Amino acid sequence: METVETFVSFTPPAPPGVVTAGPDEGPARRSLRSQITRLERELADALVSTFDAGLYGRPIAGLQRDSSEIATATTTGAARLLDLGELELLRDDLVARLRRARAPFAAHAELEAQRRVLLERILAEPEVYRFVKLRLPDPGAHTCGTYQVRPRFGLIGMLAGWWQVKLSSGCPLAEGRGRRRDPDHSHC
Amino acid sequence: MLTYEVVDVARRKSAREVKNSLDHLARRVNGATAVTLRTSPIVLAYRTFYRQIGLDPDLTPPPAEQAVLERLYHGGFRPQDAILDAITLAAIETGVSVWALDLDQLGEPLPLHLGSADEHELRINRTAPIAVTMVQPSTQRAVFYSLVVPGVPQLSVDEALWIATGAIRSGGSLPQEG
Repeated sequence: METVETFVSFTPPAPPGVVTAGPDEGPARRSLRSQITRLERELADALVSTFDAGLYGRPIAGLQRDSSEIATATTTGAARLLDLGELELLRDDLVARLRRARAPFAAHAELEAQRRVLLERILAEPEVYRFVKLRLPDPGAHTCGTYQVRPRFGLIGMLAGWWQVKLSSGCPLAEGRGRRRDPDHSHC
Repeated sequence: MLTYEVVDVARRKSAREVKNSLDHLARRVNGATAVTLRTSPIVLAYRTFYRQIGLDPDLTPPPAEQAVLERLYHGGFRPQDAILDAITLAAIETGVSVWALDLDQLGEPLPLHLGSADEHELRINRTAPIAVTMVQPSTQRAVFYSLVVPGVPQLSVDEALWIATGAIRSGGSLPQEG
């Protein structure tokens, strides 16, 4: 088996006899490339976290781009050596996309915090929150359940002011309650 | 660094062993694989490299990601021809991006030149754009090549080329399912 290796030329060669002048862009390019690497990794992690958190049904901002974003991106569909300005544009584009990708998590965390505060208040003073229903504060855990403020002993508790917080028993059964009817004997 | 290998394409259709390997791989790949694939070190390295050369990996996915997407679209890896199946096999097994060119269109030697910003094109030998050197149904000799980008071990690239060329040559030298 013959394997041949050669190095890829990443820098366009200067025309003969021309001395390139100007500041050395090497450190800046290396820094930008490392930033792009880190941002790409964080963007990939954000996508996976979106699915892990159960937010996959929502539009994933930052991972889906509209036409205006595409117009500002540095991609042209052809591979080429990006200059310093294009690398900066690419870095900024990735930063913006990462910020949008993380936005649902921030909104979700804020909502969860509000739910937890409300749950604490309900547990402390159920009579103030009569018949209030509150979903379990962690939907990302893929569990079901609802807190509900109900009167103890039904009408008696309602009249006497005995209120309690009940937690539902969990997710509905996939097959429903009881035994499934046999289709062969359903007509009997 | 560019690593490539030349192989003679004796027949257009894949060997039965290659098709069986693709079937086995299709059972291992699911939606979770598609989501988490971009976080694997090798695929992530190619995604980053794509960005740095002006390609958007979300619009032009690396071969491994593209193969997984095709798997989800079609419910399996549909056998196409010997070269494309070999690329799919190597990409899914290793995550390494492998491409193929028509050697007769290309000529030798094979230096890869990344054009400057005003060229807007990746060229082989600085004369022929890659688009005209892609493998064709009439390709007799193919060049499988891959790039050792930062974050991708040379060993993985060698393994990918070994799998791809093995799938073309005999189909019998493929890694066995464990």
